[in-house]
Amino acid sequence: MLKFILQRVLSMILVVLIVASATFFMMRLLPSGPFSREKKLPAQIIKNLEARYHLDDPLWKQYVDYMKNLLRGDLGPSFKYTDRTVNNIINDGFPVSAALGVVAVILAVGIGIPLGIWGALKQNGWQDNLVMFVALLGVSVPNFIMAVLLMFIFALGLHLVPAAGWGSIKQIILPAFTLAGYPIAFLARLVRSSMLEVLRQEYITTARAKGLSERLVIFRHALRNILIPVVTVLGPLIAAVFTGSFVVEKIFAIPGLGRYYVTSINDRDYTTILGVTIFYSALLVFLNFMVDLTYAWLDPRIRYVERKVS
Amino acid sequence: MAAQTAWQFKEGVAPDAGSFVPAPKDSGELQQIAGRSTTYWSDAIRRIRRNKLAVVGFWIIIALFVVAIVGPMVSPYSYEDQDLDNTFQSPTLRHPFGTDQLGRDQMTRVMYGSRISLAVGIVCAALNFLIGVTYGGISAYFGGRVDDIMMRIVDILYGIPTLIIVILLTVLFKDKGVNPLVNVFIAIGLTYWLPMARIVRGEILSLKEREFALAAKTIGAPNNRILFRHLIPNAMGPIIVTVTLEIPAAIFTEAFLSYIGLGVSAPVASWGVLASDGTEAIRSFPYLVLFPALAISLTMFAFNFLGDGLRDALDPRLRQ
Repeated sequence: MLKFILQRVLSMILVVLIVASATFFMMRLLPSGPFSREKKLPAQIIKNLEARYHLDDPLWKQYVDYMKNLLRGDLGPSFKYTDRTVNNIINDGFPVSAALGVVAVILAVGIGIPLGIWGALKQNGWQDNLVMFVALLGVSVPNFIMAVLLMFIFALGLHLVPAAGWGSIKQIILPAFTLAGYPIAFLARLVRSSMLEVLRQEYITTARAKGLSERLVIFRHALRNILIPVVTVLGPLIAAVFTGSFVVEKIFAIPGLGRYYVTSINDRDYTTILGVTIFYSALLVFLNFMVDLTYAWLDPRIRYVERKVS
Repeated sequence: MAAQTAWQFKEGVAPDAGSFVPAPKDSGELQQIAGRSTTYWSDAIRRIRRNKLAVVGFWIIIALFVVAIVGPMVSPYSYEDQDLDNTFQSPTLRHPFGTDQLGRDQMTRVMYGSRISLAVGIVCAALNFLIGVTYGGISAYFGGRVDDIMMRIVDILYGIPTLIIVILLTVLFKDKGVNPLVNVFIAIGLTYWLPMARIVRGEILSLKEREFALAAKTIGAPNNRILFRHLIPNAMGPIIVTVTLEIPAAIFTEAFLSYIGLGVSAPVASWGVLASDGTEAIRSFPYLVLFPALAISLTMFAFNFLGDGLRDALDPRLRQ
């Protein structure tokens, strides 16, 4: 177990370092510098600006300096907003995105899993067909379309919730459901098929033969075993929720990190793009690691086996 | 009739009457195979024909291709023809999908958009074959150190969310002045082969231990012949399923990028651009976002339906 953790931590650090370096050099490769505007700045001003941000240093020195600062957790200043650092932007935006993301993941797990179980228990009945059809629609509708659709029906049509903005509980409902849409559908399909597989196992027959109630058979014996495939897809699902927030935060005018990220891309705010990319990758890699740990903890068969060629 | 002698009794040996009855002389006929034998592919086609959703998906995709090719040719408008006297028109006979903020015919624009989306899908599928299948195949076939290194690279790329790589690559190429559509192709091509590489690797790892691979090796077939002529064709089922399920993901990514302003930009009408323009006018002119939204969703349904059906039909491990 210790070896497994050590191996994973090392590969995590490696991934983040590679992402950081690759992004750094990509941003430096861009032909238009951060100070190229429509109106050309005088040469001297550009020179001063470059001196201020150490852009006149040789590339390797800039890289080493950036990496040193990165190790201390300092992501540098924003090129666009001279009075803010990238750390400021992350500190402002991330709590908002995280709150939205957590609500979305809770919705996904709380709705997707029961739907999948229900579908499996009524296999091939109309309930099952309905759940699976809706789930297939759910994985097919892009999140930005889902956002517009929900906003149109529930905010502009029925006036149940505000159309956009951030701050009240009511305002979190639409964006959270938008973000949860794909994970709900995905989980429902996954849980249904794993449940069907588990229900054919002999230990389920044994449990029924012992005279256990159906409720105990499902929730005690079957559910535990479908949790394993569910946990393995949580990593990609969390990634989907985070990247989904890029567009959902824009549509619903939420001041989260995803929206800052997209804005910084359109503004050519290179240091912010760089910093936020590194932050996102580190976060996702870390969450995937947590998912893997949970996975090993849930399934004793994995715990002691070394990760050989899978 | 040749295969029948097995049941016959020798003359003179009296059977224990009553305990068993001699088989009729023509029992061999019963053992003959009636009808043609089914192959893997004819079996798969039969299965998929029975899956109504998959058949519907298949025909929707065919219809989309027809619309994408023929539609813009027969339309009286071009995607950039402006008619400033008739902006924001509701759907009429002249403009079945209405017109946008510059009076451009929305139906023509949606039809042009289908060209972009399907092109993205085709390019993604082609690159999936070229890069993903080759990469996974080589990794599995040579195994050992080669496999370790190649798969470690895939693992690292897997750790980074695809969309972030795509966004970064698009930013890079956009500033290099590359055509935005080509941008999207490159970005999608460079990232979407990862699942394919893993799946092909898994298939080839087991296929290369089979007798036919050994047979090919014994008669001295070169490695690339064994890999591309013998092993990969046998992994075609899972490959086709993966491609069909990667295509909607690529189409989604293009629309997503165009929606946030990184992909194809105006005046060319990508569905993402149309949806984004429509979203801005949603309070007053909701039909403007309706048609591109329907088009994207319908395309993704169709590919997902077909992909699901293909998976049930082609992937023996998932058969129930």
